[in-house]
Amino acid sequence: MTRKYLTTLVGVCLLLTGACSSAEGGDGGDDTITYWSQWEKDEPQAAVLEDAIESFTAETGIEVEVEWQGRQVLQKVRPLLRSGDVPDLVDSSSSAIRATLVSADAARDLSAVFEAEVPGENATVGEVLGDYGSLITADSLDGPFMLPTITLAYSFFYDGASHPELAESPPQTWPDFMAMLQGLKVARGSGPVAVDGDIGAYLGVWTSNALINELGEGGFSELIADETGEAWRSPQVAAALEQIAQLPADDVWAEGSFGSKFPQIQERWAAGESDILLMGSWAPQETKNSTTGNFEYRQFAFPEGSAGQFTQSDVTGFAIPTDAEHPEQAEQFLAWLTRKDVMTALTQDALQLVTRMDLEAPPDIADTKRIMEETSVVRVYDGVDGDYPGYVTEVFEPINKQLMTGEITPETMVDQLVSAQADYWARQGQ
Amino acid sequence: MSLSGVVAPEKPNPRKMGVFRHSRSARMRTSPGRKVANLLVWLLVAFNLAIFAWMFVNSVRTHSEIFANPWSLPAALHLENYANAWVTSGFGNAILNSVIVCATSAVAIIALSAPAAYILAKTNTRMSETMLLYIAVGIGVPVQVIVIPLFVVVENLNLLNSLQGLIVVYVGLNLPFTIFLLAGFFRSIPDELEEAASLDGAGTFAAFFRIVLPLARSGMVTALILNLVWLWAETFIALVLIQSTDHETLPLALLNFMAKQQYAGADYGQLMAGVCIILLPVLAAYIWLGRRIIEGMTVGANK
Amino acid sequence: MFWPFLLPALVVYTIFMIAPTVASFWVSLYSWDGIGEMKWRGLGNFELLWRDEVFHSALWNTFVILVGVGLAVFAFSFALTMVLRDMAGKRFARAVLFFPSIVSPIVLAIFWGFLFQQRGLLDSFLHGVGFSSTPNLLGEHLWLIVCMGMIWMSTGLYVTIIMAGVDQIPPYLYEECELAGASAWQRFRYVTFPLTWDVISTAMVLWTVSSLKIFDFILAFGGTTNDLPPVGVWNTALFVYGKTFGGRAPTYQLGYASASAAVTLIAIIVLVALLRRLNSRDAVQL
Repeated sequence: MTRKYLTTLVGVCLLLTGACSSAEGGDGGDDTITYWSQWEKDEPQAAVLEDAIESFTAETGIEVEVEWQGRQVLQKVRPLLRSGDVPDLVDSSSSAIRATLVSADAARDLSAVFEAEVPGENATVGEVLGDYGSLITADSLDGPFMLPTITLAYSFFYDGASHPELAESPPQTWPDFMAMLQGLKVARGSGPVAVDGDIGAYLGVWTSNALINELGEGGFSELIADETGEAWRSPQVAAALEQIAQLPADDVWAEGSFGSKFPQIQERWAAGESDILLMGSWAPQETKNSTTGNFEYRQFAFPEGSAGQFTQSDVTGFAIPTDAEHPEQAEQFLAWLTRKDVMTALTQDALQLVTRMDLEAPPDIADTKRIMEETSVVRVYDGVDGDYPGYVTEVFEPINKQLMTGEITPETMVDQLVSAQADYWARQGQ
Repeated sequence: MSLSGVVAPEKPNPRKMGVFRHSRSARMRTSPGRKVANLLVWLLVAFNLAIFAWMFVNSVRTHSEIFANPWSLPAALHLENYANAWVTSGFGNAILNSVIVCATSAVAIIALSAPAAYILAKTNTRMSETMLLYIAVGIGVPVQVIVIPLFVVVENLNLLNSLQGLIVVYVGLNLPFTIFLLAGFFRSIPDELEEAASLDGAGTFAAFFRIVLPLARSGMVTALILNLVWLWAETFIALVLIQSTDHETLPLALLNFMAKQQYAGADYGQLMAGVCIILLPVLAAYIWLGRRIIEGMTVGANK
Repeated sequence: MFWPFLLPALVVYTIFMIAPTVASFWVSLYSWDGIGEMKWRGLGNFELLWRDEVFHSALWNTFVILVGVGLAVFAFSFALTMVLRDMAGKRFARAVLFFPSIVSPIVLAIFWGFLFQQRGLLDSFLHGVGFSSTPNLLGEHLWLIVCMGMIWMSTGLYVTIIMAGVDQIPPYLYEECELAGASAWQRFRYVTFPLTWDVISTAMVLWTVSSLKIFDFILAFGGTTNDLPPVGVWNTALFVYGKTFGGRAPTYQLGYASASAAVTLIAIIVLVALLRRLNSRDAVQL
């Protein structure tokens, strides 16, 4: 009897382990690359990529198997790094790739892609793309760690049709800006500034821009590098935070900004329920369906500070994990993506600013392109989110939100940042 | 978990309840406070019903209609919400994954738990008591305490991002509770039956399979249902162990579906349709098995 | 036959439950990102937790759920049980109240958010009946809203459990009471209470265990599903997730998160021990 029981037991175990060993599948053959995408299936970017994949496969015979993972794609790739069972290709923003892949030494050097010829054109990839130097390189790698395809930049969006005066004379300085908001608020009778307050980054870019405006490029990043946190106690920081503190003090926020779920507020902005929105250049693509009448997307730059006028910008694009099974094929595909027809589709169908220099910006964000030429371009958050993984979400954004809702004063904010930052560094500990 | 009040999951005896009712109702029926209390309870019931009704109603309205007025009825039936939701959500694939994971895990859990529970229920030695205590410890360990080592274990077994990895972990996590539940059922089976069996010359093994298991069938079905209810909604472990959208279970697909609604231009009509796609089978199962589920979950706590 | 019956379950249980629990304590003494070397930190992680306000609030929130939400759930459940018992249509009412217990908490959270957000159901209702300014519930009282949600979704189960406990009291006890001429209070004091106390104390343990595991209902209150909810509503489950696998660019502080898990576990052990002491007087054990 015991024996019979044991046989059953062993059988069950075998069944379990047998099922286990046949676990891995779907990786495809030699000529299939797997691509985990930051886009969702029904976003226009995904449609452009699907077309590009189709033509690429027709040309080369290499299949591309896509998983539309969405923005959390690197959250999904990160746990697989140690086992090495990773997709051949991923895409995300430069700071996210830096924080996850580069920091774990898991990003492939893409020099070969930049030296390759753009299929069907007499130029190399490196030649047709703009120069994104420090955005796509890191000390730990000789060549670039990613192929940038889309440029992003934060600016103030407004409806040019209902606010022609803003197009004529955008506010230049912070006092101008606050005066303008006051005017808009009086005219409308409620808060003119839309912000989806449940997304920490949409609040963070305000303060970050104000800080960079006072401290200059790299100044915000230097604050974080200080392991004691005491660097925050400086007059420039205080000046920048005072500016931000005026926003809740003057009650400029559109109704519901801190009590709704993304993307409600930006949609209501597009529907004309508030006037301005500090947002990345993807705003038209995300809000287009909610606009009414002859809405005209226009932008003006974040006003200047004592260190100059800065625009926060980042690129998104593709990276190949070092453990990818088909890196060469993936590189071939990346070169394909820089073709003029693919990039044009990204501009026209997905309304993005692309990294190829010879293409026009889509009309909805033509202002952004001009702003990037006229102001100093810096990395979003001055690069802090890429260089110091976890800092902005754990330390900066929660405290910043309290400042922007008027719960704390700039002085309190500095005190909180100093101690939270010291603990952040202690946690990174060696 | 104290092992008290072990009574077979008997159906409430109407006579018994009748006696009970007499002892109180005469006094309580008349009071106005009682009427208010009844009203409040019915209001709460109405609230619960209204929630689900609201979701169904709004699943056939357009996004702009919902935002314009969340309270009104549909102007036209936008059934395309369901088609769109089904396509964008990838629920089809996720449901298949969830069915595989839940069914396999639940069966494996019962298969492993039943013998262990039986032997622990019927043996009365120091060792069996120690073992019972050892297993009891596991009931109180919350997922967040073990999720990190579990991730590492599964990674080292090369089972990360596979349904098999998820199944193995689910089995491990649900064993302690299930063993306890089943031990209660086995204890309620009179020893005499097995003694009779052993007089007939059957060993423990045969007695277990031929006599005890058939008798404890209802207990095992209860345990199965409980495990299925729990596994069907499990999110934390799945979130950590599954990365590929090909392998995602229903809760993960639902989370991703929410994100899709946000980035690809919000569409609350479609979101509600997606929610209803999730709800309908649960509702159907509840109407079909409702009493069994309620009793199961209650008996579980009464063990 | 003892071991052959027990061993398979015991092995799986030990590998996937006990070993990880022990390992959790071990990892908590290191700094580790899951990829590189593990670096010895000793009690350094615990020192940092001691100062980490996010962890304090997560632990406090866990405690609030356990005690505050728990008390509310039991109070409501008791009240509902008392009313339901003698109510016409009690089976239907109970079935409806129970239903949220088996629905995915994510679904409930989606609805709960829509109920309370500005321009959501409640907000537009209040505007409709003439209130000009409405409170910013999701923005300023998110934690309260989340707690109310947890009370609402849990009560049905406990109503059912307590009702079943009350129903199990053998009727002859009441008959004897009546023969002995006991008052209503005495009946409650000497029969109903001691005999349901058993079920209640089990239900309390059940609540203790399950309340600590609440995760997805809170998670679904994030700004988007890639972003975690604000740290103010984290419990320790979210804390562990947030410090390791969660967020857009997850940080994998496995050692630090393990330390928080260890603290959580110790806190639970202390609480359960206290609960058991509280309950030790019943012990109507079979």
